Amino acid sequence: MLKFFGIVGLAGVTLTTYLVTYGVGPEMQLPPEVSLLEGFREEGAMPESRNLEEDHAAEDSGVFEVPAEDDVYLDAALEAMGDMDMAGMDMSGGGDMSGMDMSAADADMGDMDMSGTDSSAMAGMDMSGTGEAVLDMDMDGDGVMDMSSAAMGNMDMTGTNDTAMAGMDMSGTDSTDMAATDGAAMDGMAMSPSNAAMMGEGGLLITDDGAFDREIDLTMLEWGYSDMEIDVKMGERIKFTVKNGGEIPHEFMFMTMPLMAAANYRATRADWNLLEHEALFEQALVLPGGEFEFVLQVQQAGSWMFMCMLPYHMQMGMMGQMATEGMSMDMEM
Amino acid sequence: MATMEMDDPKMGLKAHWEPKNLLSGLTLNQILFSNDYRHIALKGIFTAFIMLALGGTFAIIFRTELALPDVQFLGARVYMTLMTLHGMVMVFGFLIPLVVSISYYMLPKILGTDRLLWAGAAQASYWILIVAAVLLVIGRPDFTWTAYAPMSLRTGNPNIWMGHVAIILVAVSEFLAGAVLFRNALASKGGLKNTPLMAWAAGTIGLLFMISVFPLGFVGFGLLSDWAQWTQVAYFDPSRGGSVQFFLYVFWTYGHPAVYLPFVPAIAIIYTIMPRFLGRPMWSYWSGVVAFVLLAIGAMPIGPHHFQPVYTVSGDYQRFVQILTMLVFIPSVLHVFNWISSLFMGPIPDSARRAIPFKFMVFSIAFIVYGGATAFLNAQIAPDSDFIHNSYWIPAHFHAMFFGFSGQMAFAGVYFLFPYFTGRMYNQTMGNWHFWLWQIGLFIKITGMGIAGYLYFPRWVYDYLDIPGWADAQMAITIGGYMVGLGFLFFLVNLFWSAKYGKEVTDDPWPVIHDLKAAPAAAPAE
Repeated sequence: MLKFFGIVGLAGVTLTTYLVTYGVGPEMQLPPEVSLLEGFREEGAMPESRNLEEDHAAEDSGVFEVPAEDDVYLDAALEAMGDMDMAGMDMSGGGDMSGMDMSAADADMGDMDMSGTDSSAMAGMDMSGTGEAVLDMDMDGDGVMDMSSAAMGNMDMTGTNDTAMAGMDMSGTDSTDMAATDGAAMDGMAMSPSNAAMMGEGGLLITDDGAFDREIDLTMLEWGYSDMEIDVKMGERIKFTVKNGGEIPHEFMFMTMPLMAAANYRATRADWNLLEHEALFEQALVLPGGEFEFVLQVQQAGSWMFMCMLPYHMQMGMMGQMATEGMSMDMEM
Repeated sequence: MATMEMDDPKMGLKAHWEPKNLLSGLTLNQILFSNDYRHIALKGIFTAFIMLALGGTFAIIFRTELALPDVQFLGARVYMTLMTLHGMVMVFGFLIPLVVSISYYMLPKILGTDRLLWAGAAQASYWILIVAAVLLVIGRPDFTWTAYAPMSLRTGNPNIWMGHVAIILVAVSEFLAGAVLFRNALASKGGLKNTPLMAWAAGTIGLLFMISVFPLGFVGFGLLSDWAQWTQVAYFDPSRGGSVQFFLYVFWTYGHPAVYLPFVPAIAIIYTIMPRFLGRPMWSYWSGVVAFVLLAIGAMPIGPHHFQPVYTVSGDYQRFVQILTMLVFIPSVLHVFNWISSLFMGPIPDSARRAIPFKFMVFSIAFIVYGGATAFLNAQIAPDSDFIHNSYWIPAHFHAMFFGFSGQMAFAGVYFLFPYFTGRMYNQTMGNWHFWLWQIGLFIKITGMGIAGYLYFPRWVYDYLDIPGWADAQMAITIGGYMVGLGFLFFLVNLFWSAKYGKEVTDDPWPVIHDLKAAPAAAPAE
């Protein structure tokens, strides 16, 4: 009995292993050229295709055509990524940098420690991390943090390599610290999944309309906003009119800095999403030519990011900043 | 503490356990079609080993592929096929048939009937499973063992209907096996108070088998019908009006009880051999009975905890399922504490300490605790939606449960039965090699999977980025897998060698000896 099963087993395992690996052959890996059900189809007993039909209407209308500028931006981004090394990191240069404590792990949303100008604030923004996470926000080497190139080159959400993944690590590489930020951000936003700022969270109070001190017209296009840096004052009420002046759909949302850190944290862990449901404010899918309005009141000092949350639009540069005086990061284009 | 006679039904009716060489002198007809329960059981056991070798070979191939990032020698298609067949062959071909066959062997002896009732059904169950396995291997499904529609309908493989038919045949085979187990459990003359725990296990799991395979059969039929497009009706194909959610509910109504199908008979093996090695009854008989019944009841409604945690199940229902899932811990924990108490409530005899089946049993209890601890996390919605679902964490959990516990417990059963069906004792040295290679290899493998899962390593990928930690975890899993494979080779050599040259056993092969130094003459043959 043992001998029988031994022989059968040896033969069976060998044969089967061959069958499912080398025996497959290349032709078996492709779908059959003619469906076995062709005859039945001719009788009209079933749909034409087993698969859903592809709808080319959108492509044909040109809505999704990629603008020619894309290639230019992509090349620039790839080039920037190639240059990245430890030496490219200049933490000492820009005075702007010292004011930024992006790691702000304290639970209070929007209450970020942006005021410090001494070196301790610098330490808070330990961007160098452990050294593995090479981080190059300063792409131009002029000591000024260049958000636009960082966004284009470094914030590669697809994570094609380590350096790119670590690219926009805004708050160090201490993951527990990051987790705290993440958690705090989530807690703060738990009340309202989307337009949290309607509730006055995150330092902004956003309403549909109402009295306002001044108006800002913001146009979205490929790739950026008509105003990438908006200076605001505490207590100011601003009426925003956001228009899509581009050729493809865009979106608009406000994020707090801790939320940006959280989004980045997720990106570095291959679990990427923009946490758009935690955004202070979001307006999804603004078609070309479409526009919307809202009134925003700045309730406390701080800085906020606004961006398009469609995939890769932010990386291509559709990310701007709104800040009270002295709180802004340098985001020169 | 009362010591029971070995002839007590709860202790296994020693009279029917006689070491004897059952393997030689059989004609081919007897090997293939004999209705003697020992022959059916041995046939099932050896076939399960072939399936293990097959599934193990697949695993070794794709583990080698995964050991290093960015290095490929398999196509994605072949990888997915190997992975799918690994899952299906291991669960349907190796694990369930092995524990069921061991039950076939042990039940008639423990109950004193000395024959398997409805042996024809057991025979049919075996051959239907063989047909299913052949169809499966020829059909080469690559849609993962869960066969989610519409993925399992659009493979572009013209032979894929064989996979769908195989699913139906597996359902039929399991139904028959369940019916045999249930019928034989009913043959117990012990009544409620004296029925051996293995019969309680066979009764409850037999019932669960018979109920739960209907959804599986329907899944196979629905997939086949949707694929062939026999009628205008589509069950699962969303492009033709079918429902994927419907598939999920149907499949996991089978799928969760399915994980208990190997689990409960493996538990029954513990309840059978532990008293034999310790020379005293289990700590609590009723705790075992209650746990078997509760497990069978609790198994059915908790399938949805296998779904993706968000979007597929509404919030309240999700929480309801979470609570039901956690209720199922109760019977499992009853079992585990029963075993641990049995071990601790008295001295462990020297003879047990050196017996390979006893060692396997103790370590499989360790693995069920390991797998159970991860199960507690799995049941929680929050970690589930973060790092658990669809990451390597889940393979870590079910390898601990399926292999670390059920598989190892089945091997404990085989080592225990070895002298009874060969008339000879296995080789202790090779047994020890097998034992330690499996414990260390399995621990490395399962822990590696857990770490990979914690690092968000996704399931069902045939290549991956060199993200910190990923490659190390994969390499660890591969090394652990090789150790398990090597251990199995030791087992096979031991099986073939000892069946012919092992020391002959004529008396009770498992005498209970508390002090081997004091009574060396009575030492068990090894």
